[in-house]
Amino acid sequence: MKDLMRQRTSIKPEIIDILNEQVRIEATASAAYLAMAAWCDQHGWDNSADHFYTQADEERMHMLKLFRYVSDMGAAAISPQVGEVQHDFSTLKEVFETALDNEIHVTESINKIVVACRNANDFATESFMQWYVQEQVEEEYVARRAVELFDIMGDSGMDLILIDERIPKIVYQEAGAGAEGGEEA
Amino acid sequence: MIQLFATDYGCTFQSDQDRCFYLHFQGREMAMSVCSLIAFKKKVDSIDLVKLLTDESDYSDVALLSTCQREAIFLLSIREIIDLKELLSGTLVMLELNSILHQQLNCGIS
Repeated sequence: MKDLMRQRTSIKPEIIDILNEQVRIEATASAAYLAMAAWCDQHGWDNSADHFYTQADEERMHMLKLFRYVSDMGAAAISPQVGEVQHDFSTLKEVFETALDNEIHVTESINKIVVACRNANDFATESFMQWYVQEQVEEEYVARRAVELFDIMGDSGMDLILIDERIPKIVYQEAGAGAEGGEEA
Repeated sequence: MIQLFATDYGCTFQSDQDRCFYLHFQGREMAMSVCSLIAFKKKVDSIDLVKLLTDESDYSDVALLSTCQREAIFLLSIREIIDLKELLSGTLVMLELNSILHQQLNCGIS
């Protein structure tokens, strides 16, 4: 009896399921960042709005990368249904705190996939997911640095203007890739 | 054709020649690819039995379900849903087992 399952798809059903779930999580993250961008735009925080538009694009790219992988492996990639996302926030600080919470949630979800891949001996998917593990280091760094700006500078009117100006300057640089990781001067 | 799994109401077969699976259920025979079989199982698994059992409307004890390419539509009673869930998960277990056997025989991974 031929191994038809292996011939047609190289990933196991349980891995297909969690990858499709991750596609949904990335799509939701993209939608959440769009809502944050809209809020920032509405309240005059131009740089923060740009930051979240860029983040929304990135999350969509993450989603597509996963989607294509599932499809390329011969499995059915499911175009995600995105539920309600938070549109209203009390302060700019709350926006960035929510962004950090989102990133932590995504990281935890990616870690679970890596564990599942190991349990299923799916080395190809585990290797593929390493890109996401690394990407999340950057994503969390940027989100955390942004929140830390509020702790350092405060959250009164002028502080917020300065924070908004500094948001585009937050860049993550990997150790050994030239300068040390940190916020640019 | 090799039988993979059977329950009270149905059974599944694999055809090496056609490179597909056959599902026998409600007196019908449907050919399915691996992808269709997994997608169909996902649909069946997503039927909420508790909701069906506790719903008091007139349509509460049946579920309408189509196969992946909409070749067939099933009207399933609760007993049939339970049976189909068992049939499809049993089939997937057999396929996994077959994969493991192939891996062991071809690669000798212990």
